[in-house]
Amino acid sequence: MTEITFPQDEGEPITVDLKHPGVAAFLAWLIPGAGHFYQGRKGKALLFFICIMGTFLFGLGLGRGRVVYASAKPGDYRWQYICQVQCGLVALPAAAQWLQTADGKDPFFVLCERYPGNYYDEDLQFKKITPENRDPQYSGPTLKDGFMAPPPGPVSLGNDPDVMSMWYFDYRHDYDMGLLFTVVAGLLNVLVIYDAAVGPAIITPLQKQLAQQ
Amino acid sequence: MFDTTIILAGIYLLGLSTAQIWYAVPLVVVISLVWGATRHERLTEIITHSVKSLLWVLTFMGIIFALIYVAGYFQ
Repeated sequence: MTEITFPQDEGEPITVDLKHPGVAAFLAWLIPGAGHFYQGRKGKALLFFICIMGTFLFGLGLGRGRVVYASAKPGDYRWQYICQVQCGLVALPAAAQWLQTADGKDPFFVLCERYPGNYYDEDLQFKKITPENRDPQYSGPTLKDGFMAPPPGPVSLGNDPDVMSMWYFDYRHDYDMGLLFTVVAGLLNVLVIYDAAVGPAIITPLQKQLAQQ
Repeated sequence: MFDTTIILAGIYLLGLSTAQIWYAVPLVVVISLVWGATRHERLTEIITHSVKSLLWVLTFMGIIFALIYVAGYFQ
């Protein structure tokens, strides 16, 4: 058990019981707010859970389930996932999808199918297959978008079209905003993990005095 | 007269670039709340700190927005 006390200018000093800081930090990573709930700081737990999960899920929705994914393909090193995975459990399906699709298998939870890059009609290459544009003659392999899965097919390093560029075309600024929201949610949870591990960064009267000198 | 012009100009500015700018509002609110909550333990202090951070960030964004908007006239 670790207890810390912050003296105040006026009134009672603030005492925070961190219980087992390592356990609290792990829980805070796993589910935003869970570390604080474990420590009995239920108000802050609720605030963190609503703020961070709300931001993450809103971003994921804006990006239609495609903004959070893990990948280390040449040209698509997904550094953003390092930030997103700080939200813990909710970002872990992306790791499972990465493992699933690593050797070319179809992802879990397929969202839609697309015509491949070598489809004879250039206007339909990488486009979603819909009831309107479905080609009944075509029986070849298709590219499959998965929930939190990396873009199927090759990722071009230049300006050539690929599934990634089609995501930007389909969802426009929603895709960027979704990416931003999920990355920010992950970075905010780093602050929350820190708060669960070592307590709030309260400025004590002594620190104020030292800063003024 | 002057007040009405400012209000109309404000409405016009807010209508510009439409949806994208509004995404910043929930993001700034959430960042302010989490930032405030990691610096205090009591609810009143968290709220006070968050409101101050929120106003500071929105003012800063407003100034940058106005500067860029004015700079657009000198292209």
